[in-house]
Amino acid sequence: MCGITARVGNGDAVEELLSGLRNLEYRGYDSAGIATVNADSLDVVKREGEIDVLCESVDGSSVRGRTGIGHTRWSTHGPPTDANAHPHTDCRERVAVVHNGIIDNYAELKRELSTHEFTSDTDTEVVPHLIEEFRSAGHPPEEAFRMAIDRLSGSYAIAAVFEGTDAVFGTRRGSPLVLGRSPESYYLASDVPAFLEYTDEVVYLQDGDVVAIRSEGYAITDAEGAAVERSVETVDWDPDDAGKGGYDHYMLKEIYEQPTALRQTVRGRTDPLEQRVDLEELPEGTFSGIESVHLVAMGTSYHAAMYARSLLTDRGIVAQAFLSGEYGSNPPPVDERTLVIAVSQSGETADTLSAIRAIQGTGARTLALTNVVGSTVTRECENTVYIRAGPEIGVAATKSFSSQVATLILLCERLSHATNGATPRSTGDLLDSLTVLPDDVQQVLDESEAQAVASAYHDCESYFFLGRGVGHAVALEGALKFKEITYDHAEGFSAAELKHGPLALVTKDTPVFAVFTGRDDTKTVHNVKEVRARNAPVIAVTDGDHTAATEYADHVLSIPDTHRDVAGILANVQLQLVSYLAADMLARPIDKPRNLAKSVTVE
Amino acid sequence: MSSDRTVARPFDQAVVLAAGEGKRVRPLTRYQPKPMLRVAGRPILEYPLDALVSIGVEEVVLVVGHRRRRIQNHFGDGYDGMDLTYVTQETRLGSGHALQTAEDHVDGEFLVVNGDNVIDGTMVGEVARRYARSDAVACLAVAATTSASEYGTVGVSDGLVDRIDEGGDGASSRINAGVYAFDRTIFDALERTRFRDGERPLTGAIAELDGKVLAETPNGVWFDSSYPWDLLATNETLLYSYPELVDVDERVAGSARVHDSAVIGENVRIGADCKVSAGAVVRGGSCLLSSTIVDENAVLEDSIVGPDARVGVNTLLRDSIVGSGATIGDGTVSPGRSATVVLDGTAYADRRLGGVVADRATVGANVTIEPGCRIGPRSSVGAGVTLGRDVDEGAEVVG
Repeated sequence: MCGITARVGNGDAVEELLSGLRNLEYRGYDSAGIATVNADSLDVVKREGEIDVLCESVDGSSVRGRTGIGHTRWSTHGPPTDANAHPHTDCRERVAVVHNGIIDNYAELKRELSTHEFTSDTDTEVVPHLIEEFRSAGHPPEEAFRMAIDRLSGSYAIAAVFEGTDAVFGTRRGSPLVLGRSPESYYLASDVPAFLEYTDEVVYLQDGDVVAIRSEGYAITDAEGAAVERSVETVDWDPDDAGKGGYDHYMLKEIYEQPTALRQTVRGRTDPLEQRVDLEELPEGTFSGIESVHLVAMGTSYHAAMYARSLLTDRGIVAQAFLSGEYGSNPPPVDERTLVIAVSQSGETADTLSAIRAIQGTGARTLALTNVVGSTVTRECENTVYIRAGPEIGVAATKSFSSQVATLILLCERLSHATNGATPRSTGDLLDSLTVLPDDVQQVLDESEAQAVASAYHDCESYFFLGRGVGHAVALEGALKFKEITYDHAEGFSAAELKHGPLALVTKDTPVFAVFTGRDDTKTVHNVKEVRARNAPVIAVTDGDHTAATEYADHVLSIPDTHRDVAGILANVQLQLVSYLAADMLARPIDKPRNLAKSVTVE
Repeated sequence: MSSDRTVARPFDQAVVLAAGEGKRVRPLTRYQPKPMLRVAGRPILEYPLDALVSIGVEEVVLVVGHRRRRIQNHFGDGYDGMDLTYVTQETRLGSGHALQTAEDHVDGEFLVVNGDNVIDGTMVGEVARRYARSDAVACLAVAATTSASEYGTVGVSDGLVDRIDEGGDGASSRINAGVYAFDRTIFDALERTRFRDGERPLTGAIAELDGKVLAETPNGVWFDSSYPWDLLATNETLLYSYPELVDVDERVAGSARVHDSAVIGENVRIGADCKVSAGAVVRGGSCLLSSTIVDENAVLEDSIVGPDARVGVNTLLRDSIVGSGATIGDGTVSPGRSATVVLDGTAYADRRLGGVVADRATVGANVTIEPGCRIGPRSSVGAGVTLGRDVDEGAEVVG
């Protein structure tokens, strides 16, 4: 998904283009750019990274003009690089184009344009070169634009500017494009929030419409150039509502997207008939000679890494999880028999990048596990496996944890096969459990009692989360989510650690969440009894059959019966819901918790 | 009063009513709204949305209610270039009340379409065109049918609606097909419409309108899905006769794994990530929804299974519906063909229906499911049982 902005009017366009891009950032945020027309040239500034990076570049540049276009990108095909960022230009930089959608026949067009010099691997770049062809043949800008789009097949919204022409030309087919009208200026954008600060008068363009916006007005025509009438409407919108698909918060939307995200994560990566994992990114022999694994990560990704550590240990593989910030400052000994796995949703986490850099030259093998195609970590590691969770906008990570863990489960199976030589007996069951995991998550979402728990305990002084093995990782993640968005004190512990200190903190005002995943549950039941004896309310997260766990609990958050390696994902979804609902009752700004950012790109 | 529309113009706005539970297809709607039930592998709601796209509608207001997140997750903010806006009908107070919740989001003239019928572009196109060329205040599509509809019967004379009933089986054989064109006077009429049995029906408001109400009988596709057997019949008809509506190119999704010795019929759909094991037979009229696992030598015929369901070794499912996450044990047989089903005190004889297994139900090995049995969500049926009656939600039946 990408976002387009365009603007023509009085005064400088740059600031309005950038604010438009910020408001479209939900549509993508891995690279961005703008192009402006001024008296003597066409200026383009584009950068890989978030819009802040673009803003810095713009500040230091001479880009200006009252006419311009902008673009924000979330790459799913082709890495986010400066070259692949939009706008794209022709060979002589006389036309600049931004595009949202897919041009199906770009390969064919690119062959046809073999005399042109292409500088990116995007499909979009054929458009400016096509326009250049028609300009060279003597056609004026609007005609050349029209002739070029006539050659395109696929779905797209496109906006273009020309050197020496105080106008923006746009069109749409299958992708959104709206026109905004204010007394001062005219706008084009993928979505209304882009210009909602400046006007609420909107014209919804239709497929096949060609629009030209100029300082003196706008004209909408059909493909043949005949004028068409489109009514001007007034929108009554809160700019913040866009892009949430009817949900109050991105976080809740993303929690509910987990079944879909998990399907994408696992799709095509298992062969249940052969009981085998297919990670095609990792050719045969990728892990030959590996004897131990270091997982490096921060925050939620660190908890996914801990989860994987537990699974690998269970499979007889020496594995450790490290906070990458610590790993970078104090790297442990590694050699060519060590595999270092960097887990980062954004692929830009500074601590994790520095951990990978700290072991460069040691011979250790590196693998990136990330959500963002072409992100820095993928360039710094030898191999990459994508978690394919789709864009995650809420600062509190939710679906990325589930998809990270599901991907790590596949990776652990693969590693186990590579180092132990045989397929473990339980692989078939595990792969079947992963296949039906989306529905199991859906079941948790459908039937969760989290609201009752949040209502009962949302004003307590402290919250503790306990678990063992993968349940320990889930306990830490549950506590992190809770503190991030409720601002209440929450801590996760290994249930084994309880008696060695944390029990001193337990009172009747400190609810304790106990995570059961089917491994060493009896011991965790003992811990539950210990906190019960101190009158702490207990919330057990467990599958329905675990009577010992439920007997001592004040509340039970049930998860479907599944393979124990997968159960933690389900338990975590319950805890996500509790955190969300508690924060919502406390009226916290859930999508923008104080002091926190989505991806931490400085150490 | 409406003005004379001398220039026909396309509708760019539509309201789609998708808040209903679909009581008659219970227990399949325990966790999802009826518009999300799958026929020919796609949610019913996609068909009316496709129809609206095909006539150039730009903006759709979706009225959601029962299990609304299933719809919001599936469709997000847009569908094939149309913008989607959601309004929530918090309590089920009838189709008229549902439309009222959308009042602030529409202006001028607009279409209203039920989200739980399969229709094509002709249905909405002809209603829109007839309305645009007239000076009427409303136009609605009527369909001829042999059975009374959930949406009521319509009396027509001289192309105008002269009587409309919610439900019931009046003298007319024409029924309300759930496709309407209105102007904003419908909202005034709705205000005047009294609640009946706790509901404010849209048909009641149509009777209240000041002005002509046209009845259009479009020559289009319209499939009701009021009852479980309708779902199966619609599923089969779409697969065999309307590939252009189903609009899914692959008979077997690229990510599905089918064993070389499995037999897959022509008019079937096998969704993403399914697994079909050795010797299994999936005959025409069947749909496997995503991530469904079919074990060795299972035979499926005219059935809808999944998503995320498991069908055991040597099973037979005919005319059956198996919900998401449900498990059918080895050797279990659901022979289907002809069932007598009692719904709300009415007996429906000789309906083509096998077992209806709701979401996350577990049916053990070697169970015989007699035709028409409905097995509730999260229930469990023990091995060897011959099941001749419905099973409640969460109940356990032991052999």
